[in-house]
Amino acid sequence: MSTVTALLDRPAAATARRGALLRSPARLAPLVLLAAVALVLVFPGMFATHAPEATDVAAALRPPGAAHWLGTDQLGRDVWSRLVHGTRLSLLIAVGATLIGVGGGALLGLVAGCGGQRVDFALMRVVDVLLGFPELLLALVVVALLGGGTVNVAIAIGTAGVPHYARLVRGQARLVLRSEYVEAARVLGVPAWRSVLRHVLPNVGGPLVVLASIGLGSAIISGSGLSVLGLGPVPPEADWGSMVADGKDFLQTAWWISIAPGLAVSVVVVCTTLIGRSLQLRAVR
Amino acid sequence: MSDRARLVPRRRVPPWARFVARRLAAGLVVVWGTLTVTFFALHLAPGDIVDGLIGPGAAATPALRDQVIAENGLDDPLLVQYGRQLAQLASGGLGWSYQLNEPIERLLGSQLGPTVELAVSALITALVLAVLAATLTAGRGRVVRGAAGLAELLMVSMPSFWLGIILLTVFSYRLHALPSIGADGPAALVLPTLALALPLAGVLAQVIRQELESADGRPFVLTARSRGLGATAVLLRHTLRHALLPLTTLAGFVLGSLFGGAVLVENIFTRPGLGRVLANAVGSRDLPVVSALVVISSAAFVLINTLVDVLHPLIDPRLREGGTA
Amino acid sequence: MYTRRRFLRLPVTLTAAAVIGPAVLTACSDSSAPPSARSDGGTLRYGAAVEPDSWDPHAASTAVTGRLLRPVLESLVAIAPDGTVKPWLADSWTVSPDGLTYTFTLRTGVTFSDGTPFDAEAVKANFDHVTAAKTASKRAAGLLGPYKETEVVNPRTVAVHLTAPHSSFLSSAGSTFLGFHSPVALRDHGGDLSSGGAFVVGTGPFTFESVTPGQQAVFKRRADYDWAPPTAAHQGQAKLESIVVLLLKEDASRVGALTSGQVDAAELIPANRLAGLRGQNGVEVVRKAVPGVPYTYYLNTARAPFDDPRARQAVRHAIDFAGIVKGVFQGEYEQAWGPLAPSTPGAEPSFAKPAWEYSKEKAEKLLDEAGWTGRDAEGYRTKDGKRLTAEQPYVQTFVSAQNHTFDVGVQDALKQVGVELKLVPLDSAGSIGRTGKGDYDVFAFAWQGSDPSLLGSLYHSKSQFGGGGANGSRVKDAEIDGWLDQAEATVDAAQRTALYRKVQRKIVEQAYSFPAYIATMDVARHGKVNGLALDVDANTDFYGIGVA
Repeated sequence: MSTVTALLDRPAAATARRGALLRSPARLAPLVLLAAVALVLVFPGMFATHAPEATDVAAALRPPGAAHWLGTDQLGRDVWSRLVHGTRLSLLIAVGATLIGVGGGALLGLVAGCGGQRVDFALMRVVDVLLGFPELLLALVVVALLGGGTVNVAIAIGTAGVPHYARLVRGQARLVLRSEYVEAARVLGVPAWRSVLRHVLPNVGGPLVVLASIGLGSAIISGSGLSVLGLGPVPPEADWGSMVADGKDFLQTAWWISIAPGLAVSVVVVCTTLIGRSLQLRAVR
Repeated sequence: MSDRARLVPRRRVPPWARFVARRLAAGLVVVWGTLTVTFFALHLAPGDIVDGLIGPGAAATPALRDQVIAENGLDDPLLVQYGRQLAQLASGGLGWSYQLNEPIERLLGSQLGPTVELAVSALITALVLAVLAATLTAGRGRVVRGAAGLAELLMVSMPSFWLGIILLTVFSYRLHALPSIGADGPAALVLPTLALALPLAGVLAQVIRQELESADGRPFVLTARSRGLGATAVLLRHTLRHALLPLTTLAGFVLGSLFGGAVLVENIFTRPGLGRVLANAVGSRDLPVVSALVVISSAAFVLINTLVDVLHPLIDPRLREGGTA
Repeated sequence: MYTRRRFLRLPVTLTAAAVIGPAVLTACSDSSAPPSARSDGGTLRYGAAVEPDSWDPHAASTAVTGRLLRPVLESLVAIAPDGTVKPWLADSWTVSPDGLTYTFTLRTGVTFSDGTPFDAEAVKANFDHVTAAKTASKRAAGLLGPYKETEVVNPRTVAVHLTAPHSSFLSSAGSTFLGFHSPVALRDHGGDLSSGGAFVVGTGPFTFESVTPGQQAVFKRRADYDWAPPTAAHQGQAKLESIVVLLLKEDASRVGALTSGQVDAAELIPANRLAGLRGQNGVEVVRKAVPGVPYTYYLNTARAPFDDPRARQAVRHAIDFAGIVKGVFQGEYEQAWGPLAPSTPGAEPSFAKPAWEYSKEKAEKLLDEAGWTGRDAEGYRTKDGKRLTAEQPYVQTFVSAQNHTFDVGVQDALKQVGVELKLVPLDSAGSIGRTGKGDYDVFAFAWQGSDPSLLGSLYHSKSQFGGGGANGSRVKDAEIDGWLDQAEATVDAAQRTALYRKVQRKIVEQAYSFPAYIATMDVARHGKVNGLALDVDANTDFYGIGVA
């Protein structure tokens, strides 16, 4: 997330000139890939060759081959099938976290943006302080308070994203509220909250989607990071991060357990980041 | 800030000192706020503090529980406990770890070194890589810049733990070239540094390259060129400096990503350090350690940001000229 | 202090040179170089698997505390590999007929490394420290048992009075957990002992120089040491000049450190790495079955579903322990059948062989009989519309990767007969809360120890969680209580053993719990390390080790 905002904070003009990477085939590729991932997410059964939790201790730690495309782990579970089924949790955590972040951020940002000077000042100082912390650290603190597990990890990462979205929404809200047509509406006696609903929300929507699409990528990284630390989903549920954690002790003999899920994380993040950037470019134009 | 720098008439207390003092005071408020929030969050969090203090495997008899409650003053009103914690912090104490059963300042003191070592070496590596990559690719043809953009994107998108695992598998376990663990000397620092530095370098390279490219048409570059300076000299003397400036505003972000990344990298490489302490403390819900680390990092962020604000006018020629004019 | 710390930041080769001088530089710096002629001296770099929760054995709960402090803190008696008790800091002892008073005659000439003489007052100060409420002892106080007081008869004679017979006291007195701190250290640094380092002062062949949490502990040879027990490999000062214990929790890092030569020996090598290591040039594995309680699943007999013996037996039949053991541990460990590992003194011999069979059919039949005949949409069994679910809380930080994998294997095996096992990760506070209230169905742990009296802490009705024991199955069995009480009061070794064997047979018959596998302590060492042996507790005996 911080990575993302750090980039988004850069003047958009400079980004806009860097179109080379984003010309059409390159713009299409991530969409196609993500669509494929979505297909895997919705219909894992179509792609998995084995049941993801089914242990077969006789076939433990087999290297990739015809029977097990990505090999097996220490309990003989099929890594490919676990990867396929892990897609759901990995992405659900990330999407859930992003929604929490966007929702919480929008609420906070609107209150700050539309509220009085003091409310705005107080809330934004809090946001500034939170922005100083790395996302993973904030998420870790939330996990320390709530405990681990799928839902808590999503809440933790979502909470850590709130300040970023809050700042964006607050800025947009200020802009819109200061614009002439809202002033005019206020003169005409339209209550502030209706102006907010009618004008601020639609205007904020665009940039919010851009930020969220990029934020999704870092939410995947943070989510899998927490799982790598052993704080994520509880077996038999597994996301990509917990698969990496499972294989961490087998790197010397069975590298495939950890490498494949890590690659999956990277690919999805690359795709969401590319899409986010092309959205951003379109918004700038 | 530039306004402040311009008001430079000579006085007893130099304005920069007052500026620093004001920033530090504001920072102190931030640290205090962080402490307050974590204190109350800690005490309102689900889970029994007494059980946490007694630890696993102990005979948690009612007598022992009462004793622990009495020893730690857990039956005092929350505000009294809060005051006690503030007083303790003011005297330099950070509290007592539930899990490791030792004073937190002693625990963290011994772990600070390796983390700083890792962070500094990663920062330097990231900067060097980013500057190299940016200067070599800025303003080049589409293919070079496209490739560079892709490489940077990959760096940014790769989770540091995965990078670490790949580095470990290749260099430690396959090639046996570098140690897989620990904090013993430079050799053990190489792989963790790379795992931490590469994602950061990806971000920095993008920023620097954008700055370099946007600087190309700037007046100072044209002036320098017209004075007959070669392209390389212009790049090194002027453009690069211009491009590095915005990085100072990213200092908070850089520090954050270094510490956030250290949590995972230290775990993958079994390096001692604050990140590892934090991950363990979170796993075992050792809340005093977690809150101590939060307070310490908020203090670190305040310090770094103050430092950046103070140094910024010194580095930026425009602000400096404005000040002396 | 400062200089050593700085040196330790340098590469391994330089570290060795700085700490122990140039004599062994060749041996450390290049493994292909011929070993130097010296057969003793030198530094052992040892990879330990667990970080102690406290460096004060009187307070600690982790077994590793005892393991690593054995070279520093010594005991009244020494335990031979066959379980017999030999003199150590006590030359001789007598037990009163009522089993309430143990009188020890202490060895003369023993001093702590701070110069304080070891005498009756020192024994008293230590035992009082173990039992002091402030120490919050997690293990040692249990070993002392029904301690009343220590009486200083004269400087060389000390009498330990108990309030009730406690037949395992003598063998417990040999444990590091009842080892002796210098009374001066106890007086001046009582609150700091847990942080280890120079605060911990003992009579042993090594002194505890420093500790860096999460990183390492350093021990130095003591020149004037001359009171090794008869069980030791040699007498006089230790062979090693110093020991650097690197705390390497992650298996991968510990093994990696061994193969890359960063450590000379590493303990608790995961089973799946043994085969690979044995093939490596110069690496040898020293192993010994860990005595005590194997990794065991305790079924909560105080509530449904496992209050029904049929459900307990069904679950036991359903799990292919042999298969999981083979897969998870690569054929290196063996399935366990009894409540005590066969290497434990007093273990029931018949449990060295299979005590039940793996049979899904039997499991299904027993579950049908117990009334779990329905099936829900996910394939789990139901009774009166309620799913057959069992919850197993676990503390992530205290469960090894292998045991966790084992749990997941058991989870899948139970699913196959329609039983849902939910693994519930908790922090230790949450776990204490739930086990104390009995709010769980399955709980699993292992317990290292070399005396059958362990059974008392695990199966006596008085030993419930939260009340000072670890009765994971929440067993309240009058017959077992009776045998355990009798055994505790019996000083006669044979009679005591017979009673403990009865207890073990009843546990297996009732399926209160079932063990999973017999762990072995595998310590891998490079060729230059000689004399590495494991003691009765399967702990590394540092005193006997030399580095070529």
